[in-house]
Amino acid sequence: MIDSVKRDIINVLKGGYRALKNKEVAELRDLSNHTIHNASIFRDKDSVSIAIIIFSLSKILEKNQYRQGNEWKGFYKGCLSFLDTARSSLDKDNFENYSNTMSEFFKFISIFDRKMNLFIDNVLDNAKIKKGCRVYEHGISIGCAADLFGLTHWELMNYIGNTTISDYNITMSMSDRIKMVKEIFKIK
Amino acid sequence: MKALVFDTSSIISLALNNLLWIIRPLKKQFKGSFIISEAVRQEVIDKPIKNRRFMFEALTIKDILNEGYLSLIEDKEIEDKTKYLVNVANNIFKANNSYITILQHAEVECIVIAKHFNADACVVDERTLRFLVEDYNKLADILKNRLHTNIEINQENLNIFLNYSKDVKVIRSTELCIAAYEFGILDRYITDRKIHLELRKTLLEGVLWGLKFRGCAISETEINDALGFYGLLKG
Repeated sequence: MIDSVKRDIINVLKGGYRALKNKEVAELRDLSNHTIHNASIFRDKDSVSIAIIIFSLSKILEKNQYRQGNEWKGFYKGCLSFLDTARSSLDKDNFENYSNTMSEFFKFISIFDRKMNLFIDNVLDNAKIKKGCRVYEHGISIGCAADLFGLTHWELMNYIGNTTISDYNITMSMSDRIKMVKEIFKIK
Repeated sequence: MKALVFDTSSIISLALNNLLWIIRPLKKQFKGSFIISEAVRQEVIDKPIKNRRFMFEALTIKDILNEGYLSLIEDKEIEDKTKYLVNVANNIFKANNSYITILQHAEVECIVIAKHFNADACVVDERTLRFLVEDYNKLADILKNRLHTNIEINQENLNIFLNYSKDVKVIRSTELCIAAYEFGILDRYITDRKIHLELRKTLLEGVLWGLKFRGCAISETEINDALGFYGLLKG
């Protein structure tokens, strides 16, 4: 793992622990974007994973139906423990333990979400789409962003269309584009 | 060769808007080939057909392909050239001492096929490839502003890519639908003659916004400019 990437992930894990403990949804959401730069530049899978996890926690934390359930206490404690173990593993450069902890963390969230969620979509997949969209926003193609987050183009495009990402940076006037297509199709 | 080369994103935009059918009459008007690569076929048929959410759309694309309205291209020379050009494209922009992977094989392959067959244009709805071909500075600005870091450009690789792609025109599904609009192909949606003119505006506006909402990289300004081009803009 690149040293700067490791430092960033440790900071996000520390911040995530604090934010979850204080039930700060906005802080968690903000933290989930901190590793997107590294994900975009280095195509770093660990940066991707932590972004998905932290964003998922923010979505879970903001839903009353999740927090009021019987499962909440155990889930909440479990998440704090995963965040702490992952941070401590990285602090000690124990990458194998870090990786195992994160994959268990994914399963833990997935099981909880399946029990509580009223929708077909699950929180982890939604987090992947949101963060994948962020990478596209950074100038990376849809195909590359989809590959990085293990998504299909379909899932990403469906979401990107609802954002304002394409509303800036016009490269050619629309009248020139229309003239071009009329020329291609020989439309008078 | 008279041809249009479609990438994954443009086929998806059309399919998600139930507009894939326009490929049939458009191809007749165009009198040329509509091409996709094997990698695109996998992205628009093989992968989504296993996904409950998009399997119906995948089936409609499969149908168009089976009917011969889309031609599938597989060629060793194109494959090799694509690998080379992907490597070039992904070694142009550098941040924090690392080259940024900006494009995927299937996206670059679209350009290579277009060059190989001297096609009329590529149909690409996603932003990154189009920006690299049309105005790399805009792409460099996006990378710089979004990544909050300095972007170095490998001029040699940039020149290789730009020289290769300089004659390739890029259109989007929106321009394809504008052609369909011009040919009257979309008129089947507006059969009420009494308010025909107003409906023509709604038709073009609705189609362009529909494509935008399903991921085609077109701005609100561009949509309004298109409506203005046809004298359909209010005020």
